Parts: sequence; structure tokens; C-alpha cells
Amino acid sequence: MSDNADQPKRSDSPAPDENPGSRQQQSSAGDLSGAEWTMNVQPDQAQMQSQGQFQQQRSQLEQQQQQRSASVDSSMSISADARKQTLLSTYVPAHRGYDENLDPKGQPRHHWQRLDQMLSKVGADGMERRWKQIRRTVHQNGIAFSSYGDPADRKRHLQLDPLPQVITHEEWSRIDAALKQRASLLNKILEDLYGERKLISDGVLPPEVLFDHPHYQLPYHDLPLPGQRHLHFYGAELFRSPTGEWWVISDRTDSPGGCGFALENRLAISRTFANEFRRCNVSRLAPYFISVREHLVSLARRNRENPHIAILSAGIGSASYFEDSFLARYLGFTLVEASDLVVRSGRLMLKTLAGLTPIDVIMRRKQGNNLDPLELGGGAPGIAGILQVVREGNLAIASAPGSGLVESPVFMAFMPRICQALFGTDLLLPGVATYWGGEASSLELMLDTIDDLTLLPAFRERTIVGTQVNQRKLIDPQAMTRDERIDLIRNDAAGWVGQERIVRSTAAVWDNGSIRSGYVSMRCFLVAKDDSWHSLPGGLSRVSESASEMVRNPFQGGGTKDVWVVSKDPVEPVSLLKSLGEPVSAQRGGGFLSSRVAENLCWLGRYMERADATARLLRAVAARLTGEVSPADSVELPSLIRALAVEGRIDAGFAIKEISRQLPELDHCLASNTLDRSDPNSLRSLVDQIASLATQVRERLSSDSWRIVQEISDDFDNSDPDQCDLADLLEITSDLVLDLASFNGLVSESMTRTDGFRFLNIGRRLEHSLQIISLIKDCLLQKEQPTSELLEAVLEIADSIMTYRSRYYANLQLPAVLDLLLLDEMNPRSLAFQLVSLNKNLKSLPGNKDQSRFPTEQRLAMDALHTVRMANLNELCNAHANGDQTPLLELLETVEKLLPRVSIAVSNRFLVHSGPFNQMISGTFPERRR
Amino acid sequence: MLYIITHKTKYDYGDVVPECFNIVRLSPRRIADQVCEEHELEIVPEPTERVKRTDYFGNQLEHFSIDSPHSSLEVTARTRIKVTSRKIPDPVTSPAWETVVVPNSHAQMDLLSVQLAFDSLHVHSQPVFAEYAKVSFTPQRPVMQALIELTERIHEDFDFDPEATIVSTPVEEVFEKKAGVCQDFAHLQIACLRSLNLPARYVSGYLRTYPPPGKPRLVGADASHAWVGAYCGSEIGWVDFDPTNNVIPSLDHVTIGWGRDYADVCPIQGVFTGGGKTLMHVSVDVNPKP
Repeated sequence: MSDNADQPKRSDSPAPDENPGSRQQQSSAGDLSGAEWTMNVQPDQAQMQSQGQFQQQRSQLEQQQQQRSASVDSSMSISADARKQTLLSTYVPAHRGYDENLDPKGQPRHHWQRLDQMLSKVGADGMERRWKQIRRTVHQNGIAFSSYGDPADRKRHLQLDPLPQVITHEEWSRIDAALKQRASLLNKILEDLYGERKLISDGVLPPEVLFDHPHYQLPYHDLPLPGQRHLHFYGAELFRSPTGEWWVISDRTDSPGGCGFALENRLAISRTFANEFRRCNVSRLAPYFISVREHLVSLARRNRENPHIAILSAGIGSASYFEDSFLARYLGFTLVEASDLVVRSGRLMLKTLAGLTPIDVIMRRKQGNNLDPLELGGGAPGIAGILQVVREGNLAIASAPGSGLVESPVFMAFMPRICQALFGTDLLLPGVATYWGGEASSLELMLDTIDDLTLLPAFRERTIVGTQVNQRKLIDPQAMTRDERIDLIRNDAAGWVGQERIVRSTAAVWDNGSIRSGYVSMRCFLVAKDDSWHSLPGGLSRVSESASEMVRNPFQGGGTKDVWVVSKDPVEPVSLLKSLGEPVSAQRGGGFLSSRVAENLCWLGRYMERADATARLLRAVAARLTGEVSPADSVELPSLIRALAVEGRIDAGFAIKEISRQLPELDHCLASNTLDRSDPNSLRSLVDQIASLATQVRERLSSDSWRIVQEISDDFDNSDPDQCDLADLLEITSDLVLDLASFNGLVSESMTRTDGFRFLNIGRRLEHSLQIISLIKDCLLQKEQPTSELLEAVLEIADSIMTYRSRYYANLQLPAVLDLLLLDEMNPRSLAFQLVSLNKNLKSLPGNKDQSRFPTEQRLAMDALHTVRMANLNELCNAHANGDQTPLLELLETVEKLLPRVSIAVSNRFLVHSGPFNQMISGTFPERRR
Repeated sequence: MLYIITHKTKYDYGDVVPECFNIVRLSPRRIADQVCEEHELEIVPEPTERVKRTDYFGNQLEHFSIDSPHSSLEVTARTRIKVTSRKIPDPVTSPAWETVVVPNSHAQMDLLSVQLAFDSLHVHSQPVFAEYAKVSFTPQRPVMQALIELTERIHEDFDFDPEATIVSTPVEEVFEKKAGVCQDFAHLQIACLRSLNLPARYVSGYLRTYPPPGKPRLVGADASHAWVGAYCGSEIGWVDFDPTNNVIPSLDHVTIGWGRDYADVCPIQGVFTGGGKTLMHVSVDVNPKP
């Protein structure tokens, strides 16, 4: 261990070989549960009594403890014995450090006592019930994180612990002041590094920290700064050391994620523990989000009264997509992706069905370093020319592109010195001791204390699609041997920092009816407000099971807790959703439809109809395989199986062989193929598509419709392809048919008749038409005349059997069946009905009112409807009866060929996005001459 | 010396291009030894928007975008510029190269120069480059003497071969192949200097070419050119070296601008949608008017 004299400026960096708990801190956060902290609600008599008994027992216990010079562990087991009647009495912290719930004597901390008693009254069964309720709420609200790129990792929901992390108001005020200082400091660093760079010329920061930074880009130097600042949003990862002090372990300055999760957690917990929540005077989160909105509005340079604010998301493939879409809905902003935007005449424009609409402010949730392919390069989709729009003063981006620079761990090593240099004071909240290998003295320290350090890449790099992945990102030093770690930092010293390992505080976690102990850390969020900051009181508390586990980013999952900042005074009431629903920008959401959302709605309609048709066919097959009649005797089964094979739902081989010979195999394959995610044609994949598309248009769906989609997705998630048999298959297909019907019912009852509704309907009608045609082609256009059983099966799959029976009783004839399925405009399951509806929806699309000519898509759709209406059914059926199926086939194929052209025409007219940008071949040295 | 320079770049696209966004750096920057008397940039088809600005290094550039479908794009820069001969400092009295090394001396050096000692997109420091440079950069040698020798060695050791490399060929490969064009040699020399922690910059511009004796000058047969600027201490400042021609640029060189490497001063950079297969044709004419 080398001495600290090498680093006089790093006064708050503790020497790594000391016990972190014994350190001298500049700030003494500590256990701040002051004696003055009480509940504002008077406890009732019974509670007083029980409290009295409890206190008696406690003082006895304390005497016992004083008599013993026992270890903390043994004292805790005794106290656990004595605290039978409260929730926390069974709780034993996993580590002898700081515990969020219990004091060192094993008693509930002052600010936890009241909550402990209230929760004790709820009882274990009550807690379990509420825990399940919370899980349901979290699930239904659909807060989840996922990356849709990975099929095995579809969607995971946050686990929310019913027990909050409680922080007193007094303690929070100190954290709050410290975080504001840190946010201001980071903003000041950005200002300096993109401006005068005095930190470098004065020798506070080595030049390579900036010039070798992988995300340092020259265009960031000359961008104007709306709101006079780089940093608009700041996230800090905090945890408590064994002595109870708070430490900062990392900063997030580019586009910090997680505040949406914190809000979702709060909504779920405050609903489930309404009484307890109210009594504890918990600081509300809503004011933070109001500040977010007010701040973004204040940044607008154009259209100041009613700026158009958009949340720029990296899209469905990104981990934060769910949160982006949640925030967009909650704040009333438009959710956009790079491909929705285009630069025109110095403005940033959103492509909508009605044309281009300007955007004034971007809340940036997509990383800054691939924002503009023109100036910043990069293969990931960006918006060409967006930086020039900012330069011309026509757009505000928050946080400014380039603000991610200072979230790299290398800055952690310099924060105390920078704070002195820029503010002339110490940091109010210390950062975890961090050593950068690029400094000779620190490198020595790192090598000496390598066993106590977590090695991290010095520069935090976000992976950009299509670019070279930083090799350092692929290295896991924690999995290396000591010698390998030493080699690693010796060979690439400036590429690594060593961060001291400190055990986080422990907290009680509800786990399946009992209490266990977890390790917690807390992510806090700040938004700029005037010339200071507004912090979200509390934040997102994350729970991990092992002490050694690294603090993970919120999108990687794990357990979470709501954080309660409690005070002795009642908090001011904030009407949460209402106050947020009122401002003008909320009206924007319904005003226009972005082309991407319209396209997704159209595809959602298509996939729903495709899934419906598939489920009905599968159900019919499964019913016949399990029915009274032996499958081998079922005359219609071969045709139905052939239809499944033609549509790619099962292996084509089944369509050829004789049924009786392959029954066991078929039984198994039918179920497993249906649930096979790797096959894009399987019903499982169709459901995945529905879930993915619904997620992307979620702001257009009612919460009830959304719940149905969730339930469909859950039903399939809970079905194991290896266990699923025909009975299960019957059940899941029937459930799916029902769920889809209720979705459609809700949509037609609750969705406003805007363009969004029309696009969903256009998709449905197109696909339903195609499915009817396929069904008839696959089943009724065979060499042999269709049997009554087959006709009945087709009617059943086409959901028209009841109508048929009411008209014709049991007399099954092809002409009557075809009339009902193709021509009958009164039958909502007929082809003609779909085409009538399709035409009606196309006619209502924007720009169609004053057209002197019919646009292409309308002409094609009218052609299709006309073809069906003009069909001479008698002739078709006579020919069919005589073995000539050509006329019927021709009719079906005429319509079948027209429909995709309708789809393309709609897409060309309304939905075409500009394609991906190509980098221009640069004009230099073409001749390559001297 | 007065030059009339015409620099024409034409792109023919296989498919229609619905929109494009571009940055052009063809306007010579103001420096002590050259006065730009006239400069115009003609763009066909007519851009929807054109905006001029100055970049981080002080180079002039122009943004333009076209948002109507087009199948070709022609950018023509016409420049009338007067170049006076440069005062070249005495190499013998230049400071020892070690005194110019970053970061030892960065407190005395302006940060813009310090910055140019660090890696950039196309140029990465490597031990092999340092080793190659060390032959000329012997202890305490005056920095300009060392630079002149390094320029000469690159000229000797490397073949000019337009077929050997493409625009994106890494410097490491140029070093192995011992061949390339002016861009490659400039990058290589910068890499050598930065591997010794010396600030170096990439200069983009034009070069007057001389027809073979007795032959007339061919119109439009010139090309854009690139060379190197090296930092020679606070007193002397920056001096240019042309490794392709083994000269210190003076009357024959016209400077457009400079940056960390080619990426910072690329004459035309842009992105476009659609386009299909693109053909590019460039013609440069550097016409001296005595």
C-alpha cells in the first residue's frame, strides 16, 4: 500500500486497505433517524398498548444485551426471538453492516417502527395477498424491460418488493443537496470541456481524459445550449456503506433511465398500501414529473406557447423502450424514433399521415453519439442534419448531445479535485474511491490493492449497432485470476479504473410469505429547474441477493423497492395523473398519427386476424383428433391437416401420409409446432408479433385492450411446448379465439374513429379476406367433391356454422356454403363483408374527400369487391360439380392478387419512410495521381 | 502566384435519391500566405437549403440539403486565390523535438495543438510508427531537421501507387505495403509524429502540377492533395511538410483547411437515401496565372 501523499488532492479517497466503515467522511450522512421524527397520525389505543408492551420487552432486551458482550449476530437472534409480534421480528440481516430496517441492536429503526407495526397488523397472509396484488398491477401495467431482438428474452417484468426502502425527510434533504451539487458540477465540467477547457490547461484533468474519450466529438463544441446548460437530466447510483453513509458509485448523464420504473412502483405500492402510505407522509413523485414537463416546455425556442415535445426513443429493440413509452403516455409527449423524423428547411419534422409536423423539443432517450449520421457518423439509424437544426436554434435537445461524456468512470477518479477546482469546496457526498490507471501514482495503488478493487473500463462506451465493439466491453476482469487482472491493467493502464468494493446496506425483502435479507442500492433522478435542479424524492431502489453482485442497470432486471421519503409533516396533496393530464400538450397525442404508428396498427390488425384463423383451424383439427370418432375414420381430417401444412403451421410431410400411420407423431407435433417460437409461421410466433406490435402502438390502445394482449401473451408464455398435449392445444386455441374477439369488441366499443382505428381495420379486413380465400382454396378445391363433414368443418372454422344452420338446417350444400362465406354481405365473417368494410375505411383516410379521381388503393379495393359481387355462383358451382374448379379458383385468385396491391398502395401513399441513410462516397483522390 | 481552381464532383446514382444532406469543405481558409479573391460553389440540382459556417478548426464549410428526388448531383467549386511564398524558419535553430512532446509541455502549449497529438478516427499511435520515426528523431535533434528527414524517408521508402489503397485503407496496412497516395502518406507521417506524442495535423488542399517538358498543361487533370502540418514549438508554430513530394509547401500548394485527419476535412461528406449503385467523377483544374 503506497502512501496517500502522492495524491494530496484526493483527500476524500479513502485508502483502500482501511475498513471502509472506519473512514473519516467529509459529510456525515449516517443514520439520520432523529428523535424528533414521529408520525403525524395519533396511534389508537390498541396500538399504544402494543407499543408499550413492545417497548418494555425492548428495554429488557437492551439490558440483556448490555450484560453480554456478544457479537451482533447473537444479539440479533435474541432480539428476533423477542420481537415475535411484528413483521420484522423474523428478519435477520444477511450482513453485519448497515441495515435499512434494524439498528445495530436488532431493533426496528425509529423511522421503521410505525410502518413495522402497521404492516404487522396486515399479517403474513395479508402481506402475501398484497404482494400478489402488486405483482398483478405491475404485470397489467406492462412495465417491463426487454429487448425484442432476442426471442429467448421476450419480456421480463420488474419484481417489486412490497416493503419500501424508507428514508427520513432530514436524511433526504442532505442527499438532495449533495445530488444537486453533483449535477451542477457535472454540468460545469461539460461546459468547461466543450468550452474553455481550463480543467485541462490548469492541469486538473489530463488531456487524454478528453481527447482519448471515445465519445468526444468536435461538433459538440459549437452547439447552442437551450436553457444555458448541457445537462438537463441526471441519474446517480447511490448506496450505503456499512457505517450508514451514502456513497455515489456511478453517474448517468447521457440519458439516465429508471425514473419511469420508480413511478410505476409508486403507483402500484401506493394503491396496495393506500392506508400505510397515507399515514407515513411520503413525499410525492408527481411534482418531479411536472417539473420535467415544465422544464422541457421552457426549452422551446419556437412555438413557445404550445411547443411540440417528443420523446426520442431508440425503439422497440432497445432496453428502455417500455419506459420511454410509459413516460410518453404519462407526460403526454409524442413517442418518436429516429425513422419517424426528418429534417426539412432547418426544422425537425415528424412524418405523420397528414404530412410533416415540426417538433420543437426532444427529450432524448437515445444515446447522443449516434444522433446525426451526417456529422457524427455511425451505422445506427440517426437523423441526418439534426445537429444543424440545433445550431440554427430551431430545436432543443435535452440532455444536449455529448452530455454522456462525463458518465465515464474515469471522471469518478477526478471528481473531488474538480469540485475543489471549480467550486472551491468538497463534494457533499463522496464517490466510491476510484483510481485511474492513466495516472502513475494511481496505477501503483491499483496494482498494490488489486484484490480489493472492481476493475471497470475507464470510458463508458455504449455499443452502437454496426460499429466495432470496444474490446474492453468484452472483458470481464472480475472473472479473471489475480495475475490476469494485473496484466490487464499493466498493458492498458489508461483504459481501466479500479473501484473500491464496499458492501452495500441490507434490507428486509418479502419473499414468498417470509422475510429474507437483500442488498440495496438506489438510483436517484434529477431534472433541471431554472438555474438549479429538482430531484425525485427517493428513487428506484434495487435489491440483489449477494453482496458481491455488481450494481446493474435498471433494464437488466432484478428486484426493486419503492423508496419512501417520509416526513413528520403532512405532505401537500398532489393530484397525480389529473394535473398531468391537463396541460395543452396532452391534446397533441390524438391530433395526428405518425406514419410508423399507423403502419404498426395496420400490421397489428393483420396479425390478429392471422392468429384468429390459425387458432380456429388448429382447434378444429385438435377437436377431431380427440373426438369420439376415431381420427382414422374422420373424412374431413386429411383436408384440414393439408390446410395446416399449406399455411406452414405443421410439417408438410403430414399432408401426404395416411393419418392412421402417424397419429402419435401428429398428436405431439401439432402441439409442439404450434408453440415453436423458432418457426415464424407458428401460432406462438404470431402471438409474439401481436405482443410486439401492440407494445409499439400502446398509446393508441385502451388499457383494457392492452390487458387482453397481455393475457394472450401470458397464456402462451405459460404453455410449455414439451408438455403441451391436444387437450391443452384445444384450450389455448379456444382461449385465443375468445381473447381476440374481446379485443376486437373493445376496440370497436372504445376506440375513436380516427385514422388509427381505420388503419387497424384496414389490416384486419385485408387479412381476414385473405384467410377466407386460403381456407376455401385449401379445403374445398380438391379433386373429390367436398363431403358434408368437410363443409361443416369449413363453416365451423369460418365461424359461420350457426348462421348456416339457422338458414339451411343440416342440409350441407356447396353453393349455399360458398354464398354464405363469399357473397353474403350480411354475414360479418364473409369475404364480401370484409371488402365492403375495407372500402369504407379506405375512403375515410386523410386527403380522400375532395379527390376527383379515386386513389390507387381505393380503385383496387373496389375492383376486388366488384369481382365478388359480380360472381355468378350458380355457374361456379355447376362447373365445380362437373369437376371443373377453374371458375371458382379464378374468382378467388383474382381477389387474392388484388389485395396485396391494395396493401402496397396504402403503404406507398401513407406509410413510406425514407430508407436508411447511405454514406456518400467522398470526393477525393479518385484518380489517385500525384 | 495566382491560381484559378475549378473542382468539379459529379455523382450519378443508379436509383433516384429522395433526399440528401451534405457538408462541403472546398472554400480555402484564410491564412497568412494566401488570399482568396473569389470563391463560388455551384450545386445542381438547386439545394433546398444552404448554410455556411466555420468548423472547430476554423475551416469554412457549407451545409446543403436536397429534398426533391434527383438522380445526379454536381458540385462545382470555383476559386481564384493568390499565394505568396512562405517564410520557412531555419531548421537548425528549431527547438529540440523533445521539448514539443505532449503532455510534458502541454502547460505551455495551446490545447488545440495538444489535441493534435492524440489519436483520431484514421490515425492511431503504434510502436512500429514510433520506431520508424525514431530513426530521424534522434535525441535532442532540432525538430524541423528531424521532420525534413522523416518527410524525405517516407518519400523514399514508399511508392506512389493509386491501386495500392482505397480511401478507407488503415495506416497500418499502408505501412506494410509501403505504397499509397498522398492521403496515405499524410496519415502515415501524422501517425509517426503522434506515436512520439508530437502534435501533427492533416492539411487538405491543391497542388500545382507541372506538365512534362515541352508538353502543354492538361486542363482538369489535377487532383486534390493532402499533406502534413507539424508543430515546431511555440515560437515557430506550425510548419507544413509534403511527404508525397518531399517538399516544404510554399508557392505550389493551396490550403483549403486542416484537421486531425482526413475525416475532419473531407471535401464532400454526406448521407442520402436510395441511390443504388453510385458512380462518382471528379475533375480538378489548378490553373496558374503568372
